[in-house]
Amino acid sequence: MKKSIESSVAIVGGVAAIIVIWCVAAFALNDEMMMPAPSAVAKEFIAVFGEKSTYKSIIGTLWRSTISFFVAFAAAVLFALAANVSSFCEKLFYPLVALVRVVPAMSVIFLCLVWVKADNSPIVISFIVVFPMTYSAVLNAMKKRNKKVAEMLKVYGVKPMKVFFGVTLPEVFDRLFPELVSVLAYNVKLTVSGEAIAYTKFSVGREMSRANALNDMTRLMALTLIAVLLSVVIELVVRAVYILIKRRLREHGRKKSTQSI
Amino acid sequence: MVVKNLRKAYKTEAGETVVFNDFNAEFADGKVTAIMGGSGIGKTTLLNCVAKLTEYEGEIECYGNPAYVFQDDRLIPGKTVFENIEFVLPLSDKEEKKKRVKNALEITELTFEAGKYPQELSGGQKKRVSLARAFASGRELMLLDEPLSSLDIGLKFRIFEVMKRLFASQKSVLMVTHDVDEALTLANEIVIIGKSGAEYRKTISSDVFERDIVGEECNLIRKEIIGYLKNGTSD
Repeated sequence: MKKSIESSVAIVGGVAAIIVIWCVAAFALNDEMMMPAPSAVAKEFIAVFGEKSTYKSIIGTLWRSTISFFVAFAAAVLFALAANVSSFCEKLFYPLVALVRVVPAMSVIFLCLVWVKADNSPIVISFIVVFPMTYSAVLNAMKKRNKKVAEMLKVYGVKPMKVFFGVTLPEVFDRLFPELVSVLAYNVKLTVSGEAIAYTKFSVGREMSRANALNDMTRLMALTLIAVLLSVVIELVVRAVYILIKRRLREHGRKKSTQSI
Repeated sequence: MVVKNLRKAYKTEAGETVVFNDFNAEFADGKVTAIMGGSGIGKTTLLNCVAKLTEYEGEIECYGNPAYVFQDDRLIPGKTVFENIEFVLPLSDKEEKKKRVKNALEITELTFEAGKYPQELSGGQKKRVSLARAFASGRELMLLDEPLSSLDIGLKFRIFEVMKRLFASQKSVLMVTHDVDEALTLANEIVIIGKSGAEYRKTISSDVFERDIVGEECNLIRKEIIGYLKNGTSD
């Protein structure tokens, strides 16, 4: 309890420090084009939420971010499964994954603008950047799984499919989850960058690009705040849902086991 | 159980490390046999060969696949005590499964822990779950690799009682141990192995439930075993 109060105080203190620095910088520069005051950004933030188009943009960004994440995740799982089973496949995928990992995100964004339609390019950009991160995370989680338990299950002759769904999958997912949530939040950032450059319809990125073209720093910062909130909210919601599901499953297992006796 | 011409070697960076070369031994069916021997002699390797967890040359004849109680508990973290035992049972009849698990939990005094998760159990309770799992599997041969090595002496003696009850309804047990008292408490026969087979063998005539491990018979055997392990001879 004491620790959780301490950490809450530290987080609030950190946020307050950022706002204070921001206020001081805005006061010192005294130029709204360079650094708008937090109060002006807050006003703009509320005003942006009053516009119908904002919701369309948020939904569009969320949609693209979710799609690209799940496609990247599904591909990463398939590739990681193959790499986990065969070292030949792991070596085969290595150059591709390494290449995609070292290519700068901006190069990917510009190349995608040429190759793909503006509406789809944020999805492709996110996929290309997120895929190697997710692949490595899934493969590491698979490799780190408890081999001793696997050995025990082999002795008792438990069928491989039963082992996979009953032991391997939950264990790998548990290990993978914290990394996946970070990637999910990072993916929102990436999608917004892609949208801003591709000028994608109904997107937070396009709104940002427009504010930048109009030199409207206050609006740009308000939209940035929206993008940050989107990442944070997604991370918090997914974490909360995961904890809730896990707790429910545990309670169900406990109840079922006690009733069986 | 008969082990014939067993050869087991591990490849290491320095070359090949031979654990067994032409190892031959017989272990009586229907008995609890304690396997002892010096460190690195290959006691665990022998059990791993019997359980087919490692490749070997030669022949091992035993009744089907054994149950195995490892040195570490190897419980599945996301499953309750009940589920941990139930998971390894190959039965399709759910009621029969439940009955087996319930029986195993009763014998190991874990009925009230059925709904707990491994991280909520003490070291002794975890040990008993892994014993219950082996028992519930219904295998005719049970292998145990220093199952109580990490427990304190008081807890060990409490678990000995559980093990005696389990072993009474088990056909054959092969138990690796370095603890003479553990062997004297639980086994019908004590075998000391060397590189090529059983080097010392002693049958304990008294019943495990009535045995006095500081009595005359056990004291004599203890003396012999300690002498053998120390000097390589029982004289």
